[in-house]
Amino acid sequence: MVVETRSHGTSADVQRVRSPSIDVVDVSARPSASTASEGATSLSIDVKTWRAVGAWTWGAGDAGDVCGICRIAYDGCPPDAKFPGDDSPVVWGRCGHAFHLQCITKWLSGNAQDAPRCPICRGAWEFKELEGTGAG
Amino acid sequence: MSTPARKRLMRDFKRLQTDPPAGISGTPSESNIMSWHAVIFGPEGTPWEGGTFKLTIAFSEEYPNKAPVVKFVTKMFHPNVYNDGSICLDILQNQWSPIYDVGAILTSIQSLLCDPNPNSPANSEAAALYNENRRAYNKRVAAVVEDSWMEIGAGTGAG
Ligand SMILES: [Zn+2]
Ligand SMILES: [Zn+2]
Repeated sequence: MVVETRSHGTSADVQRVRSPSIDVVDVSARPSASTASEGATSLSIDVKTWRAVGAWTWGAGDAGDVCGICRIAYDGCPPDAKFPGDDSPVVWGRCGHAFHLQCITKWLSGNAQDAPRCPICRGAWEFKELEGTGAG
Repeated sequence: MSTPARKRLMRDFKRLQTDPPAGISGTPSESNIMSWHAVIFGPEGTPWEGGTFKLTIAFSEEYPNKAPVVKFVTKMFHPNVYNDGSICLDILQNQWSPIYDVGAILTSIQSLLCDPNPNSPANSEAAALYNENRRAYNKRVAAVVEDSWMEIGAGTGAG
């Protein structure tokens, strides 16, 4: 896009005139990501796209992050636990995604008809052995 | 009583308010947090532009481990929307994941508007027109968009 010199138009006007597709992108469906909106392209929706939805918010399980299922901090108290901490351990899958033990157990048990899948990457879910990584 | 599903929905609502995705809105009904009203605005630059499409979302106590039931209240004309407003969308069925929230659900339905999946037609007439006569399809969509304004005027103001 070229910058136009116009005595009367604001830069926003110019942009709207010159590249209407950007307007479309801005209002089109995209996750409420905090990333730059221009990065999101168009209106395509399929499952692959949605992997990214999970990715921007619930990354690797750093302290302060939230569990993707209950949206409560990893070191907080998931909805079924009485106390934070020991009663609500965080577990990792081999894929590297972490959830409260209660949360992932509930999800896996409710989907017995299918092979257990990670909610974020949809890969086969296998608990990762805890090698002294501990829960938080 | 505050169940896990209700707690999660409170968080969904909070997140919708603090970080609202473009072109959608959703609110739990005053008396029951398990039952939501939502509006999806038709994306600009598409045949759906200008439309305000109302939906209801019914959650069960199994949320987020089970998908909610989402229905259009506004009369739609779309390959993946049934006559009764039910939506044929994989993430609301077998591709559901407990990491989705209300915002993600509504945004993906908004995406579906302009990007129908012709492989799972819920409205065969819409699907056929979409594939074979896009101009006629867009006309029908334009009619739906116009009707959606009248509904807003006639309906209750409550979101
Ligand atoms: Zn959790
Ligand atoms: Zn994973």
